[in-house]
Amino acid sequence: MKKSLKNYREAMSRTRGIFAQNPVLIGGLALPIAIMGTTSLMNAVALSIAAFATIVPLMLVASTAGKYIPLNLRRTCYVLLAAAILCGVSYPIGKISPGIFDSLGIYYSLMAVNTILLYRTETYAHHASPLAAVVDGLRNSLGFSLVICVMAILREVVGKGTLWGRPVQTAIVLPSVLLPFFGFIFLGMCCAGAKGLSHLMKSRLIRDKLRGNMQGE
Amino acid sequence: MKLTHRFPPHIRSRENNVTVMGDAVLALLPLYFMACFFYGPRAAALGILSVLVCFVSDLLCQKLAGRKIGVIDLSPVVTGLIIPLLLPASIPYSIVVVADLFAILVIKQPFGGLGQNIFNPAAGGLAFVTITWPNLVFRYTAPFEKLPLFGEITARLVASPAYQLKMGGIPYRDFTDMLFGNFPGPMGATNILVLATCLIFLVVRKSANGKAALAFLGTVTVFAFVFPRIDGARLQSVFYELCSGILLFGVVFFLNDPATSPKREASKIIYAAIAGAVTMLYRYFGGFEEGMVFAILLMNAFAWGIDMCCEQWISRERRKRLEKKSEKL
Amino acid sequence: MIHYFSKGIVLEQNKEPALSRELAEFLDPSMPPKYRTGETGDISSVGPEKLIAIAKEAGIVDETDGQPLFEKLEKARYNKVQTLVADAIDDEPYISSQLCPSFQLTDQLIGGVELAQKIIGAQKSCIAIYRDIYGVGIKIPEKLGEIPIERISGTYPAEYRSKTIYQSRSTAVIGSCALIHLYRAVYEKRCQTTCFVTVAGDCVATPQNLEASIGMTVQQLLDHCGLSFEPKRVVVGGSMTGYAITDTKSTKITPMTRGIVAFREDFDEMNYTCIGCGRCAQVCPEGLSPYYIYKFVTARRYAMLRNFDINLCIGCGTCSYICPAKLDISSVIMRGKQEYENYLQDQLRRRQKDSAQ
Repeated sequence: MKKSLKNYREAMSRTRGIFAQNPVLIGGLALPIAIMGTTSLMNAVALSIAAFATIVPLMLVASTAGKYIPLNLRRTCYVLLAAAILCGVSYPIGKISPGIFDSLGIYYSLMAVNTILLYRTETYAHHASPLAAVVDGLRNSLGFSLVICVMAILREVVGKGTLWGRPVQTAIVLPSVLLPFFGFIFLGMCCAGAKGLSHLMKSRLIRDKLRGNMQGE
Repeated sequence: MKLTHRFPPHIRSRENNVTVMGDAVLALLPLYFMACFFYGPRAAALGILSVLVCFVSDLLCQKLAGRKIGVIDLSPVVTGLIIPLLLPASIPYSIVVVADLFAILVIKQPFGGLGQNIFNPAAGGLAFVTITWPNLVFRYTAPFEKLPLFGEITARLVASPAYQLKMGGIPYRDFTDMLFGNFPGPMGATNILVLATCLIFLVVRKSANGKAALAFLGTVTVFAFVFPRIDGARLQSVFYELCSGILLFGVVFFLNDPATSPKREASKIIYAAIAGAVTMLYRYFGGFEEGMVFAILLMNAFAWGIDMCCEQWISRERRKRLEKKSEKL
Repeated sequence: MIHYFSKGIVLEQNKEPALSRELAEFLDPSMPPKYRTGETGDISSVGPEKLIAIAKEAGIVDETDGQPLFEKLEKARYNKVQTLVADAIDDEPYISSQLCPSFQLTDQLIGGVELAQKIIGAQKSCIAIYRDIYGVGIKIPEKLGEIPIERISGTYPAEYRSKTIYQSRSTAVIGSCALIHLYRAVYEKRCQTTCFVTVAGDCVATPQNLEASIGMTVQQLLDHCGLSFEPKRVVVGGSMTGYAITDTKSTKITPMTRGIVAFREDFDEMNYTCIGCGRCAQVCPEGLSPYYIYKFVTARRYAMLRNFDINLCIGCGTCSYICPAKLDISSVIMRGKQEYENYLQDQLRRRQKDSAQ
């Protein structure tokens, strides 16, 4: 079944950054933010907005002007630029909820030194066209936000029994799910789940291919 | 004659996996008997539920992982029997189920299952439950109170001697009461004499290491003697430290857990000594009144490292000895 | 309890009834006994070199390590050893092929020891016998003739341990059956055409020690002793370190075959996995960690074996014996030794190629 293999490859390359090479689950980037920023859905949404706001413009800057900045100053420039952007974005984020910066703590400022940003600008943006870099930045931020929001929904519902601040009917409330140790465990399980899914799809494809070969296409 | 080919040695000892785990189960049953004697049939019901949940979830996980199940192995039964013994008799059934599921589904099976787990599953399940519901886990009923099998618990809940020690008080209990378990505490961890007998049984059956147990108890005694929590009374402090909380239970069942402790005898002794010091530090400066489960989990992370260091040191000594011997010849 | 502080295990020896039964002869009628040529006359006037020549002509082989006896005697004589030890240690269960002849052909053994002592020029001699044999029908005396018996104590493997105790320039260890054959070669002029073999096991009708011709098949010996049940495993050699054979009609016995053991039961395939109990690391007589070596060899991580001294393993099989999961630890480690050697050679070659570039 060469066609389905080709479809799979195409689908994977089109969703590179969201499903195929998810920066958090497969790449292992931005882990502390994925663990500590997912204690409630509001935090997760705030961090996703911050991610979009920092990664996308910086990929554009890196692909156009990055070559001209000397090597030892490059990362410092990106981080300063990201910090400036975060200062600007903090006004709409503050509108989500009054106590959002208290509950986010230091993890909002840590988005300025986001490893997704540092890694993708160094390895991809320098030798790509501006459009490709921006699209890559959008994809990575989308993947990051998806993972964070799903984790935050589960953790908030099980841990506090609320969703976006409003109480929800749950069977059991485990307050210790909001502690960092459970974040690590849950993130590990999500990584395992993602790998398991991709393994399952690949093995199905190989099985179909072998079956097709044996039947003699 | 149809002969099979096997690798040497051609005689094997009569022990197998089932008997090794069966020793641990046999050592736990007297504790259940004593718990039922003090707290009624609720103890047995908690134990049976816990064993069922552990067993079924372990079987499910093994089927998911695609492993062939040759013979029924007893290790989830041991985990299931240990967890309720460290909780008060008045604990709701759902909490025991949560502890069991966490122990098997998060601590044991994702790391590889039997023999490959890094952390002790029972200690992990208990740690999770301790953090989530500390007010339920550390409030015990006095012995010989009638507890209903199902439904709401209306008995009076008191604090154990471990809490009194942490608050700086002196638990005034009779000497024989402390030894026979006639004081409020975790269901299976109060019967000091029965636990000592179980330790001797396991040492004779070679499932437990007597030297490691002595190292642990020695470290705890020295700590309690030199820094007593009861001002002025050193021996009394030593006695209460050894009898309160889950210290002796941890020595018998957590320190000698096969998969999570180091393998060499020298490393086991070092591991036990450090675990004793860490347990006492958790008791003195930790947030909860009994921090032994956290100490065990912390030491489990270092078990491999201690083993590697001991191996390096022992092999260096051995090579030096062999060189000296070959020089003499 | 005595062995609480030492490493190793105490095995159930099961040497009866083969040990107390009389040593029987089972000679191949098609192989006549060979006699050596040579002068007759007063043996006490024959010099050591001539005695060594007699041993060479008779073709006597030491049963513990397979070396020809005359080579051992020459080397011992050259090194001027002071003590001669006759090795009658039978530390593996079911095997008594050195003990039984020692007690039933006592004067031949004493004569052989005296001859060997004279050849080597040693001051002292003794016979080494394993201490932990319980439940045997014979009482082991303090002396045999004028030669003291030294009891090698301890846990299995005692034979290897005795080699290290006696490993020095001034001691020579020779198997007792070889000394019996030496006596026969010198005084009765017989070359070595037979060897002592124990036939034992729970399938054998009459377990006993046999003096059988070299070159007979295992099937002939088993038929001679009678099989009361159909065996599932037949082991040639010791019960702990021997080889399991599948074809009894074409396997022949040699002087180094100390025993043939036939077992009725086969091991069940229980699919146990390792539970990490660490019993193997507690009983290893060399002080190694079989748990880690087994883990690394099966995972092929040879780089981690650097500190584990895998070449010190003697293959005694104690770790496999005691493993509750019935894993074949000692055979995997033996295989791992060879693979580790290959790995090291590979590394060396790679490093030389890199440095040459």
